[in-house]
Amino acid sequence: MPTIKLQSSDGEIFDTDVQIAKCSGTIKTMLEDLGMDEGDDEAVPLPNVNSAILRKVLQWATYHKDDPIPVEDDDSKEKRTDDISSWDADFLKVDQGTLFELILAANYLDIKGLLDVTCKTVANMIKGKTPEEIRKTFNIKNDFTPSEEEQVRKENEWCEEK
Amino acid sequence: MQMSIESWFNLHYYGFGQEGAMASDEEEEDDEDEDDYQLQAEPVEEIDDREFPFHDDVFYINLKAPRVRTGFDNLPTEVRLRMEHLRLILMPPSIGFQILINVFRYLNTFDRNSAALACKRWFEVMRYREFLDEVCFHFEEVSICDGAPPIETFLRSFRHFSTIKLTKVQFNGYCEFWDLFGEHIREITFVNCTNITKSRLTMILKRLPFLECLALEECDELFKSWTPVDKKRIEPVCRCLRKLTLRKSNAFTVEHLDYLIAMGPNISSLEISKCLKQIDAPTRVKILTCILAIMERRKKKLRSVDFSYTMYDDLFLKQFAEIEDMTLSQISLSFFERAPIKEPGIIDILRCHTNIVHLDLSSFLNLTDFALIEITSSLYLLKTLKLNGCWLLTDFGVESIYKLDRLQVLDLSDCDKISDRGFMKAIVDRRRDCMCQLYLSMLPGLTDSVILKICLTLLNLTVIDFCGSDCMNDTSVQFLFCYLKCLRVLRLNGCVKISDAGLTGENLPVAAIEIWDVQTTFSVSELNSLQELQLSGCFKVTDITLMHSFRFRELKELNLAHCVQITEIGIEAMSLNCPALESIDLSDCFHVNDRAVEALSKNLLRLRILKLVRLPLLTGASIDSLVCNCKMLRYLYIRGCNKLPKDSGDRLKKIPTLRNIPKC
Repeated sequence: MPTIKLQSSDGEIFDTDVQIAKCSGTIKTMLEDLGMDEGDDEAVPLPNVNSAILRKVLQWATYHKDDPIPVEDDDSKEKRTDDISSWDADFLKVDQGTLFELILAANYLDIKGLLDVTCKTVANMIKGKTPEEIRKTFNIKNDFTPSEEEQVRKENEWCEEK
Repeated sequence: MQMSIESWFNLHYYGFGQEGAMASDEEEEDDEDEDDYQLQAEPVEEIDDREFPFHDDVFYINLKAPRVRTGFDNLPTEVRLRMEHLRLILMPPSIGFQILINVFRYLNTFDRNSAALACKRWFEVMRYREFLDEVCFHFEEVSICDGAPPIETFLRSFRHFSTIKLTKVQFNGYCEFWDLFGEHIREITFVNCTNITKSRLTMILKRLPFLECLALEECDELFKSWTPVDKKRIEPVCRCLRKLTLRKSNAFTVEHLDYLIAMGPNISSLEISKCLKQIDAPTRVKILTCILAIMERRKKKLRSVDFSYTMYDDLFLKQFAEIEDMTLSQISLSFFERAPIKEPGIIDILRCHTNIVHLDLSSFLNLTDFALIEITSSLYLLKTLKLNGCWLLTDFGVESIYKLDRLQVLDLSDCDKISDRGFMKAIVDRRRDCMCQLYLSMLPGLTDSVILKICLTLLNLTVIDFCGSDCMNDTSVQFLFCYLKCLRVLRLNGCVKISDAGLTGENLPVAAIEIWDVQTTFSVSELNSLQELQLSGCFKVTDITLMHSFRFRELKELNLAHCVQITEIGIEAMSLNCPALESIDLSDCFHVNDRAVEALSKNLLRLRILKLVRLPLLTGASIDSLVCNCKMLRYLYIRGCNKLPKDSGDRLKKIPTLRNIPKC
């Protein structure tokens, strides 16, 4: 199996199967653009991902390496959040900090499958909650003034789904 | 409330209106965006170390960007990512804008509104055009004037509205609302607005420069008070208008129609539905001729026409077919009772418009098998085919639907001559992954054997309608729960054979699926993304189902009318397990008492529509709990609840959101 080296922001080197690394659009383009070959000893620097997160990402990518390439989203298709596989659900049983770092890493590395499943997980944490509960869940400070909040609530009374 | 500088900036510079938006073409806008991108790249890098969200930069970046964009999104990707990273190190992890947009896409309107109230940063995400377009602000039975609520409140708003609907409103005097928010409005609907006049309509439309859809429904008063002028003097005020809709109007004349069309030179979609009912034949013929002339004039741009339930005739269809070089993708011609059985005009139309993707021929009473076979062999691009109530269709014609490979929506409701044989050949002949909506209500000829076949071939169905069908029983519903995991809408009104056993999967006489000796049963709660469930008249359903199987996190609409066995015990459990419910119908469930209403009002924070018709046990205590707990209730129906006190209507006025003050 051809491998390449990936270097995390804190300098750790990960020897990775090329096929697995290429599930990241960013790495794939980098390899193609820079003409990096498997033989190269040079490590691909990933300054935005630390080793703990990169390890998680690679774990996810290894498990999903044989997944079919996701098709472009059809707009007519409704967005589901309940179709997270049990493996993914277990994999994402992490603290919120890690979850958000995984989202950022998936975004940076351009791994659609991981980005989708992590965003779904966050959406699931929001569903059915009141604004107060959402703030509590994500530890968000309410920066609306009471009158601004009242304004939005009053407007929402006239809001409906199209 | 004083508008802060910040919200003032937001209002004026985050928007998608003003400069550059005259470019009607999407592509052009994109180009502009890219230019911006290049332009901004340099200065932004210099200010890299400053703290996000640096409002002054947001200000100048957006000066040129004609769309809902935040300053953050306009930065080059690398800078953006670097900053994200920086923020990550410096601050506790929080989610970036693009990512929030991704997350918000998975939420429905209600959850999104709720999330937007968490903090200003999240609120900003709602400015994204995609989200603005999904909601509608519906003003109903209020006065539209600056000095009275709700408009008074909206004048202070610090966000945009892209869709406005006005039902039975009164226009009183000049209204600044249109000046302030007009340039963001893309869609406006007037329903039964009795005091709208032509000058007022024009006044409003002039302030909506980017309007794309205009609908006038039940607006006969408008046409009666409007004396049209010579067409030559009409200025095209709505250059962006793509869709014009006239619904349920009988009073408009040829001149009105010409005027409205002349206002929008770029109309691509024309709907004149449920019109021309109570007018004499010569006038009708004149208007139909006018419609044909409009189609002829605009044939290059028209893509979609809808004449559903409008009184047109076969001659109209024949002439419609004669319009050359028109390529329509969508035709709706519902209800046409006098179609000739032989050589109907519809066939001529369909032969020339082979690009049609959506076809609605509901209640086309004389549609024959011969015509359907013509349709299926010439319109191979069809995605939507609605044949609801085409009585003459038999298995022979319906079979031919198998040719339509791309079909996504099929409605065969009320085509009561269809039997298993035709249906099986038509649609469940092979796996069809693109099929998502299937309507099969009132089809006595189908038996339960089609259900398993549906479940095995149409795995991606999101909507299924079997109202009044005999073929739904405890075993066949089990198949639905087992296979159709994508279901969002399940309509089983009047499927009287269904009982607790089928819905819960408990105590079934025969297990649905047996593999060797392992028996598996399923509960309706397996459909965990269900949003609408209709079980009206399923009288065998009891509290057992409600207690054990109604666990839906996303269920918005539930109809249990005439489910006479349910009581407060089931309702209480359900109200705790389905927190997202917005609309409930419990009419004629005569065991429902004050405690049940109390549980509903306390536990369902999103409740907006509640139907409690003919419930003899309800007393003033129910009114009290509704008044005390319901913060969102818009419509309440309590007709025929005999024990309710006489002053219920007055007491209910204390619910500020209530639109209809019910009489009991």
